[in-house]
Amino acid sequence: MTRAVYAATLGVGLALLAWGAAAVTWPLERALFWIRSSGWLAAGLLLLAILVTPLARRLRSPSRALPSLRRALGISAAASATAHAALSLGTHLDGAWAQVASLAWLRAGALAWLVLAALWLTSYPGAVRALRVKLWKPLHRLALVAALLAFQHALLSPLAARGWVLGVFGVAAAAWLTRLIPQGRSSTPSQASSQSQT
Amino acid sequence: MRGLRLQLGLVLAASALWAALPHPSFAAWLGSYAAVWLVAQALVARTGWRWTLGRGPTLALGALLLAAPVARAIEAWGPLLERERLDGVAHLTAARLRLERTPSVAPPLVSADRPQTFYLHADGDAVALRLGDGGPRLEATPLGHGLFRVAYDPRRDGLADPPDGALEATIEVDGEAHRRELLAVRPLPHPRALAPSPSRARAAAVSEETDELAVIDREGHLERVEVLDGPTDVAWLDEARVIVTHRYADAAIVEGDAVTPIDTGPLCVHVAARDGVAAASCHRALVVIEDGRVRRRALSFQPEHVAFGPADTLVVSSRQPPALHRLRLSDLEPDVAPLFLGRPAVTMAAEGGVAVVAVTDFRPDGPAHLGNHFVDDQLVDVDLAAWRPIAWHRTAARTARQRAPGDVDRGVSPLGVDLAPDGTRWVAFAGTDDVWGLRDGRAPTMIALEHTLPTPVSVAALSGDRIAVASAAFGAIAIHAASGRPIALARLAPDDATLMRDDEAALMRRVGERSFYESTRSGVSCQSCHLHGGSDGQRHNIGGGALVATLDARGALGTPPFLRDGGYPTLGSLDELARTLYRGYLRRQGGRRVGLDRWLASQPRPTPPAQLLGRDLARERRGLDAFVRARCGLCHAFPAFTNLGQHPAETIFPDFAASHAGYELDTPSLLGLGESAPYLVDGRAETLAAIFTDHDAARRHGYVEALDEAALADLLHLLEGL
Repeated sequence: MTRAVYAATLGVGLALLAWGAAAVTWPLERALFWIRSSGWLAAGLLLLAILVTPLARRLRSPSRALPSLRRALGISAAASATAHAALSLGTHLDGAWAQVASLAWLRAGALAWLVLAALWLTSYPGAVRALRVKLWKPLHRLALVAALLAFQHALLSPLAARGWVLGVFGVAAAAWLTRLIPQGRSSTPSQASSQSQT
Repeated sequence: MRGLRLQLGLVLAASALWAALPHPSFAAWLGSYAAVWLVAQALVARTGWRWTLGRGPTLALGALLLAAPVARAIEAWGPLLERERLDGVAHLTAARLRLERTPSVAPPLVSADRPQTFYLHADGDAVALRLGDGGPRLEATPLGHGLFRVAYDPRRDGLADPPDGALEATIEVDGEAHRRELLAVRPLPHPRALAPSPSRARAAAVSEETDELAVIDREGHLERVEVLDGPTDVAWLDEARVIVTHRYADAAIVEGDAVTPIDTGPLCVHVAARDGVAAASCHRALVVIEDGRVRRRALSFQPEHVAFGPADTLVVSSRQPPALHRLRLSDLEPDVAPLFLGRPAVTMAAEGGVAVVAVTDFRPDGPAHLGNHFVDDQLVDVDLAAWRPIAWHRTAARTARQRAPGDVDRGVSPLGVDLAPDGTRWVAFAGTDDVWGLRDGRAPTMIALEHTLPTPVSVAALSGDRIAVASAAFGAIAIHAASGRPIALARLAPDDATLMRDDEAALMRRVGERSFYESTRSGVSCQSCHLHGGSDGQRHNIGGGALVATLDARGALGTPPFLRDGGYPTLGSLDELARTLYRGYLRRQGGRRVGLDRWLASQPRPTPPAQLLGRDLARERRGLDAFVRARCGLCHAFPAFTNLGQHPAETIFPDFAASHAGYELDTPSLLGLGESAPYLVDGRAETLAAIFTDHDAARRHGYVEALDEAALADLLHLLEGL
């Protein structure tokens, strides 16, 4: 059932994107459309993956499906980022590999992808066992670093709308920071009343 | 909790490793983290190692590990921000958001001294712009695709409210008001272009910023006359009458307080007169005025300085090509091939069959020298009858004031020349605050003005061994004896002390203007290539790499980052170039960086000629349709016609990138494009059409295939008029 939902979501999403791309007549802009779509998708999925746990805690809805949802989002983010990088290098950047290292926004994007690729590789139990990964959490906490690098990448890139970049990453940062707010315990009216009298 | 301690330990160890190899980049820190993680991972996987130290020693070790990276981070903070392009990121992002936040307006500068065109991007049908609560309300003309245009003329519409300082403008879209912050600037008087009367008893100058003519006599008595909009130059027709050219109005004859316009059209920039006949260089035309009659001759180049030559000829200079042209006065046809100089004339004066031309390099038989940042101020004597240069002299000099090896401290940026009847050549050097009197066979007279009237841009020899010197930046005209002794100082603008008390913003702009003209120790000033804040229209070797076409420095407010590669986040940060590459200034000046920022920010883009000469709205709308169809707006987004993005050269011009690997291109605003040739980063396109026809082989610079010939022509028409 879950797989079917994933597949259906993916199919509908891709169909919508293909429909959007078909409306673009200039081949170069069509390539840009796919690059931007895959980039936003990667960023959105990455932010959602990071936010799953704090939001679930805040909403007090711990679920056994949480780790698998987080994992699915993370893997999808890494896959989208890979598609974004491949499309960029294959079309818009026209194989300008040297620029990836020299320009700050491209370098940040490449670093974010490297981090996500490492996390992707270690997201499968089989791979973790084969690689004898013992410090899994310190590695996967780099998802936060990847998000910061993605922010830098998007903020400095020439074609991303700055308002959207600030809005999306700002909302995500605010949501993530809610984990720093101590969660109060629910109390009955009588308890609250007795506390106020003491 | 244990997991968090482990995490902190890894971060600390990674930071300590980075501190040992402190490359200022996020990649370096991430690499350190990866290395530390791999080591820890190997230790844990192979030996089952666990942290066994107690809390005290662990804290001590942590503090020890923390010290090095903190120290290194403080040290590398600046380079890190610069390398990661995060220096000025807030400034840059704010500028981008300002443009993206519709309704939006560009440019963000309202100048009180000239007509201006504003573009608005709005989702609506009826749009208007109000320049402050008490300022004029200007209806916008819809161009289509959400773009609107406002033509503003402060003389006709009134001044913004306030006319100087932060301006709360209102964009009205279908009756709904949206507040946007602009900058209003009301410049002080800037006297320039001193012209001596036939008897040399008086000299006249004009202040384009304040629309006035200033006439000064040998004693320093000053008369001020209000003239038309944007006076650019003045010449004496006889002892009582002068002719004044205007940028935004017809030329006019001024006699006493009477101002009589002549039907020359606007955009005339220089004028010369002899025996009651005047010749003016106007918009791609030369205009001769004789007994009130006007003769006009269209030219294939934009004429600039003009002087009378021998045997009824006129000599005219042009920036593109950087040459002198000689034309017959009778029919205004060229009578000889142009005389190439290498770099354009900065100023010119002619007398007795010889023209003295100031240039920043002289190369008559080829392109200008292409040494790295090559500037070599010279005065070239041209025999106008033989039509050849007969002598040329370098002016930049070292004197006993030199404080460091290689300092050049006199004779930089000759911006004013006058040839006195006694054969003395008087030259004003704006870069080094001095005026020289040069005469064959005599030691030159050098008058230092740094303490009395800095940044002299114009000089005129007067009778009785006196000279008049004008400083635009300081808004004053001084009278000196030929020996150098000061006689009088007539101010059109307040002095520094008054500005400090009453108008600090204007004082900072003055500091910046002086800095822009001031020579660095290397003998180069900003003004050397950005003539009067604009462009010399030439290509220069910047940094030993690519040839770069000089950008017009005006109209830069709200368009960070700056320079062709977008390497400077603020206008003030350009000061770093002067301090490092050009080895700084001889003179100490507090607030130079801020001043430079304020002055550059206050410089409006030149008014588009189309606003003054008339527009073809229907064709512009067709041009905008073509602009949208060709997807130009992807990067040259409304309303500033730039999205302020930086692109790898490979993504747009792969051919260019093949020889300029690693080049990053800053998306330029297209406002003022028509007057900013040559085009593209290295100036390889001489015309706008050539950008699309000759320099876009990969077809990545817009979807030009979507346009037929007529649509492309409409697009070019639109671009030329922006």
